[in-house]
Amino acid sequence: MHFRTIALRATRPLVVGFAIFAAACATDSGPSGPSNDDASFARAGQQGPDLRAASAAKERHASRLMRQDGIEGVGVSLTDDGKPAVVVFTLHGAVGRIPADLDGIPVKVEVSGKFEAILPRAKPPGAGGGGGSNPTSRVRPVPVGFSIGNVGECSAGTYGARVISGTTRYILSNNHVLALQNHAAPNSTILQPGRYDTNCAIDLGDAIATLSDFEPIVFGGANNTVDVAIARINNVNDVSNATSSDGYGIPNKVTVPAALNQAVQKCGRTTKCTKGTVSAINATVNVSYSDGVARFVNQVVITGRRGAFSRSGDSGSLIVTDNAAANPVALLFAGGQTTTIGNPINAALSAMGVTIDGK
Amino acid sequence: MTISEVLRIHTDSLMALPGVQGVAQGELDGRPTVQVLVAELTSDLRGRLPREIEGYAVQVVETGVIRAQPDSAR
Repeated sequence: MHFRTIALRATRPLVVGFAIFAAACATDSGPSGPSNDDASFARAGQQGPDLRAASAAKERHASRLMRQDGIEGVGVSLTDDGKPAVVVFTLHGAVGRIPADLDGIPVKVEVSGKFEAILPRAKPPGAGGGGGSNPTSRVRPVPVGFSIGNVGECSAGTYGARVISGTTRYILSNNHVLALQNHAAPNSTILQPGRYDTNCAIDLGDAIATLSDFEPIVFGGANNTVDVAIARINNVNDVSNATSSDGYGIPNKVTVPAALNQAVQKCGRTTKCTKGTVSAINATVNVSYSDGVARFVNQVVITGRRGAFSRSGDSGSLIVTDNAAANPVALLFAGGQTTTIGNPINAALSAMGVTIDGK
Repeated sequence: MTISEVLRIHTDSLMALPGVQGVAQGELDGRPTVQVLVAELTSDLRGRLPREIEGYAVQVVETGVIRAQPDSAR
């Protein structure tokens, strides 16, 4: 690699490594600073000129130069005609009193502006205010459409809706999300976010609900109608019945049947809030699970309006009409490359004996 | 024959064709269709699918394999 590339025509962004290298060299007390590795310069020299003299000159003078106003960094580079040079990075073009050479090594000046560390973007601690919420993050109260999962598996699906029976409130999602395809223990813990979004770590402080009921999935040819489960909420203050501000808000208590060409929307853990159209109804579909293939009847098929309507991790999302009323239509649970499959919402709710805790 | 009756009668035989993922009621130009969801529309499969059933057009949609959609580390 040509050393000039390392020296960088410092546009601000990714100069950090080199700047730190240069700054660190500048504050070294002696000529043999630890980061000034003779071996690495010799390697560079294998492909180009020997940089050791320039490096030594830099070492001798960097501390003094760095104390000067407007000098942001010092390093080793090449002149335009390929000779070893000391490069001085400046805040702006009018920084004065920079020598033309140091100990016989030419000095070149590059206006870099300030060097800034690139910090990893921290996950916002609260719900995203207006565009940009992250459904895989831990948020309280949990918005509809965020990541959830059963403690027993490193996976994640979506918190579909808050539902109610009498005065007890539950999380509505799929059997394969909350009950792990019929395998989860009764009352097992539901975490937010699901473990797929915590690098598989288990933090019981993330618990929000306990598995309460599910409709068994029957594999091998029998007709299934729903892939649904509910989990009793531990503390209602921790679980909102509304999406984040990115989405449709609170779903309607009143459900509607799916109809061909109906405009729908959903908010889910993976593809967030998307819009689609009902492209088929009364569908019989063979759905592949890790435990095998299950046949579902009377399903709703949705096609995305702009790109995919859903992807892995959106399982459990509530699909509602794409209008102010936001009437629930279906419970998302499966998909192919371009299609999404949902259970008719009434079948899912009545199987669990609950209604939507909505507006 | 209504579209529902056609689906009731013909779904099983359509689902038995290799690669067929689902059979549903669709719509094309305002008319109901028999919509067949297929993992991959090979020429072999295209040859086996009828163009229409009882006067309803057969609409083929290539979907890939239809899977449950959790995100899983397994």
